[in-house]
Order: sequence, then C-alpha cells, then structure tokens
Amino acid sequence: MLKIPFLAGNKKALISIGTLIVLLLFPLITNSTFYVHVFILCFIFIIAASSLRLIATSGQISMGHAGFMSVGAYTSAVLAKSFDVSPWIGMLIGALMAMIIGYLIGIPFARLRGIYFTMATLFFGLGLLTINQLLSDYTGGYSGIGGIPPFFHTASKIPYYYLFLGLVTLSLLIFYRLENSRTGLTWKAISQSYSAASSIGINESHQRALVFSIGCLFAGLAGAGFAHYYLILSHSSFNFLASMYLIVYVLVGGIGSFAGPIIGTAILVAIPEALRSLRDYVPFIFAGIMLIVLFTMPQGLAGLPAQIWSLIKRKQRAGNSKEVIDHVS
Amino acid sequence: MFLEVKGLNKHFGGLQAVDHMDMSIQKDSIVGLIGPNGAGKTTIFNLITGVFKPNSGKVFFNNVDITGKSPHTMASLGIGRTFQLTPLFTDFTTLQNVVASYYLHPKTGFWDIFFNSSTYRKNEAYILEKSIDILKLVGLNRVKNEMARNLPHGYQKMLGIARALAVQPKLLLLDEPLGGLNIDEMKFTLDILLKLRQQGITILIIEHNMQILNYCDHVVAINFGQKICDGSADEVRRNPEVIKAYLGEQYAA
Repeated sequence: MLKIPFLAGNKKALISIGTLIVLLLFPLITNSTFYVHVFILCFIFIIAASSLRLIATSGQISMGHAGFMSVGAYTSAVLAKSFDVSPWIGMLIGALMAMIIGYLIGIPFARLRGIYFTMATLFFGLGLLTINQLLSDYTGGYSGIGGIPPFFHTASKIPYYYLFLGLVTLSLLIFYRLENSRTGLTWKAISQSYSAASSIGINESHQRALVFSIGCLFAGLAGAGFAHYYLILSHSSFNFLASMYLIVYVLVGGIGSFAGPIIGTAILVAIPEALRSLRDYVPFIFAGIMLIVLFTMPQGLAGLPAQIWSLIKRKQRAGNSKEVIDHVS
Repeated sequence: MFLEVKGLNKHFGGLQAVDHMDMSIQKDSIVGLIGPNGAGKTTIFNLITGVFKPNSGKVFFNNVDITGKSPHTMASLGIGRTFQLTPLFTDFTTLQNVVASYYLHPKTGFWDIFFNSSTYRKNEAYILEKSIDILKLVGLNRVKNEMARNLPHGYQKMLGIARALAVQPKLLLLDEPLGGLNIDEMKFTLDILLKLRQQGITILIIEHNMQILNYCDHVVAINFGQKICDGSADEVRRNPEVIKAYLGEQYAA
C-alpha cells in the first residue's frame, strides 16, 4: 500500500486532501455551469462562516458578520467601478478595511460579554448597512450597485471556481493553524472564563479584539470576492438575514468542530440553489433544519458520524450484556 | 515591604466592603487573611489583583505603586491568584489548563506561533516539561489527561493552585484553598504551601479553617471591611475582637 510518511494514520489530513483532489477535478468531469456556480457560492460562504466560527472560539458570537462582508464588498466594488482600481487590489483593500473597522469596534465591544456583545454586533452590522445610503452616490443606496468589474473577462465560471477554491483552501489552512496553536488555546481559554484568563496574564480584551478583527478580515475577503463574482450588490445582499444565515450555517454544521461551518454551509447553500421554486420558503426550511439538528444532534452535522458510531457501540454492548444475562439465567 | 496596602477603600453602592484597610506583607512569609463571611476578604483580593478599582487608597508591590492596574498586568508583575469557586478552563484537560496558563513565561510572538517557528516549538516543549513538573508537585500528574470538569472538588482546588503557579508568581493569593477538602487533602495542600514558601513565593491566604493559623507567620483579621487585629497567630487567637467576631459577644470575656 502507498505510504506517505506525514499522512500515515492522519485521518483528517487524508479526508481533507481527498476532498481537495475531488474538488480540483470536479470542473473537468461536469458540463453543468449550474453546479460550478453552486460550488463557488459554497466556497465564498464557507470562508465567511468559518471566520465567524473562528471568532466564536473566543466565546464571542457576532450577529453582524454579514455587515463586515458588505464592507469588503462595497469597498472593493466602489474602488473598482468608480476609481478604476483593479479588482484584485480592491479585494485586498476591502478585506483590510473590514479588518480595521473590526479592530476599532472590537476594542470597545470587548468590554461587553455574552449576549451584550452579540446585541452590540447585531446593531453595528445593521449600522454598517446604512453607510450604503449615506454614500449612495457611489453605492447606489437602496437600488444597489451594478456593473462591477469582474476578476476575469470570460463568460466561463471555471476560473472563478479555481480562484475561490484557492481562497477557501488558504483561509481554512490559516484558520486551522490559528486554532490549533497557542493562539487558539488562548482564545479557547478566554471563552471558558474571562476572570481566570486574565488572572494568568492574558490581555483578554486585546485578544478578543484581535480574533474579531481577523474574522472580519476574512468576512471582508469573502464579501469582496462575492462582489466581483456576482457583479451586482443590492441592499439585501448583506442584511440582517444574511448574518443570521451565517450563524445558522455554523450551528447546523456544529460550532464545536472545525468541519462544522464547512459542512453546514455546503448543505444549506446548496438547498436553496437546488430548490429554486421553493425560494420564498427558505427561512422556513432553514428553521426546520435548525430545530431538527439542535434537538437531535447537539454536536451538529459534523458530530453525526461520531454520534452514530457511539450509538452502534451502545447497541452492541447492550446486545452483549443481554446475552450474558440470558446465559446466566 | 513586599506588598503594602495603604488606606484601601471600596464601596458598592451604600455598602462599605473595605474600609481604610492597611496591611503589609514581608517577603517569603505566609500571611493569613481571616474574617467571618462577608468581611471583605475576597474584595481585598480583587482590589490587589486589579479586578476592582479601589475608591481610594494605594497598593504597593515591591515599593511600586500598582493601584488599579488591570488583572493581566498584575499577573505579568508576578501576582498569581486562585479563586474561591475555582473557575477552571473546564473544557480543557488538567494538563491543558496548566499549559494554557504558561502564557507569560516564555512569551512567544504571534508570528512565531503562526509559522510554527523553532522558537515556538522550543518554548512549547519547555512549557510541557514545566507543566508536568507543576502537576507532579501538586499531585495531579496521574489525572493529567482528564477533563478538568470531571475532576473531584479537591483536585480542582489543586489545579487552581497549579494554574496560578504557571504564572511564575512572586506573590501568590489563595482564596480558601482548603474549602471543602478532607483532612488528608488539607494536610497535603498545607505541605505544598510550605514547599512553595521555601522556593521563594510569598503567600497571602484567605481561609475559614483555623488550622491554617498554625502555618501562618502573620495573620490579619478583618470584620465588616475593617482590620480588627494584626499580629502573630497566637495574638490573633487570643484577641477579644476576633473571638467576638467569630463567636459572639458572650465569649469575648
């Protein structure tokens, strides 16, 4: 059997690399632009949802994450359309803009804990949207902005597919590295007890602002990517519902595991795209899925294999002990 | 003076929790802070460690004014503490609790961590080794891979101390380390305190259990936020004010 030294016995790495290879080959085996489109959307929203979960590892649930996507999207779109900046540079500026705003607002918000932090992010996210109206000469206000310069001047979606596959892979590698290092350990410590964390010398509010701004950086990146792929932005692209959906993606997939937002996003972005005729009912469908998952799968969809496995184990053990009882009696 | 508290005042609304508190602690000593429930002992801890800011008064550590600095700064100055109700990192293992607490020494930069540099790997190896040493000292090495939330109460208390030791404190503040421990665990904990003092750690300890008096070089007794007695263990034991505070007027003859 083929043996690659650093992969031997590392199931997670094997699954990740296997998935990546399949995704790399996917456009070659399909003719459907529709599926390619759905995958691109998944990639964009996986970046956003995973960055939301990265913030959540420090115990902060942000309800305004789509607002930071809009910062990235509108910054990049306006720069490219009105100021002739290349979309590539615009995307970086948009992401940095989201990060800077995230850090500046993350410092005061780090004084708020739990639900108060969440409410603050909710209203800040809504507040970010009103900037669109204030700058309506550039952003188009309620009517939105169209004719955003694209990344590639081709009709094909394949270049976009590879671009966003690259971006999502890079983002996830960064998230994984952050989470599984001392930095991630510090953030997880903060999420478990603020007072204990500061008693061991962790500058709790600085770290919380740091992780918040890193999350916002990637939200801005995803938003900017979305802008130059969709080429139109409307007022409703990044509204309150969009922020809620990101949270639903993370919760359905499983907030406790790295794969959670990936699985959750992949399934929940695909459903409304696949069932276009049922589009108006999407909030209801999501609510139903959410309830089922929360009630039956406390670890989310990502925890399902482990859950099933332990159920089988328990069944087996119950069977064994029954045999013993039968034998004794 | 190693730690000096001068005229410390703290009120919550109309409640005077700490009232013109003066206290000084010599280096390499074990100092007890005793008093009935609600006397203000934990508030004094929170004032020293910066969790609360005093309304007036000063705290000096090594003759430097540290009044009102934030809790993480206090830790970096060398003040470690435990909590009465042990807020541990419950989703971490015993070992992870201590490893995570090695946040200050050695300090590794963000990019070193991110790029898994040799400095980072060297520091982490050092931290792992030191963490195991601490767990051995407090007798928790056996349960190092258990989740902290599954540990029995006595072990959780010890883990609180282990975590405070990872800060490399010069001054250790312990909030009721003997609370809820059985006789053996108490003896074990007290022996560790003596060992720590030998290593040059000064200890300020809040306790209800009067057994602690035998181990203290110096005792401060307070009631209703005010100091009622300050002296050796025997002096405090005989002090009529202390007896009155604990047992009531009729015993204080």
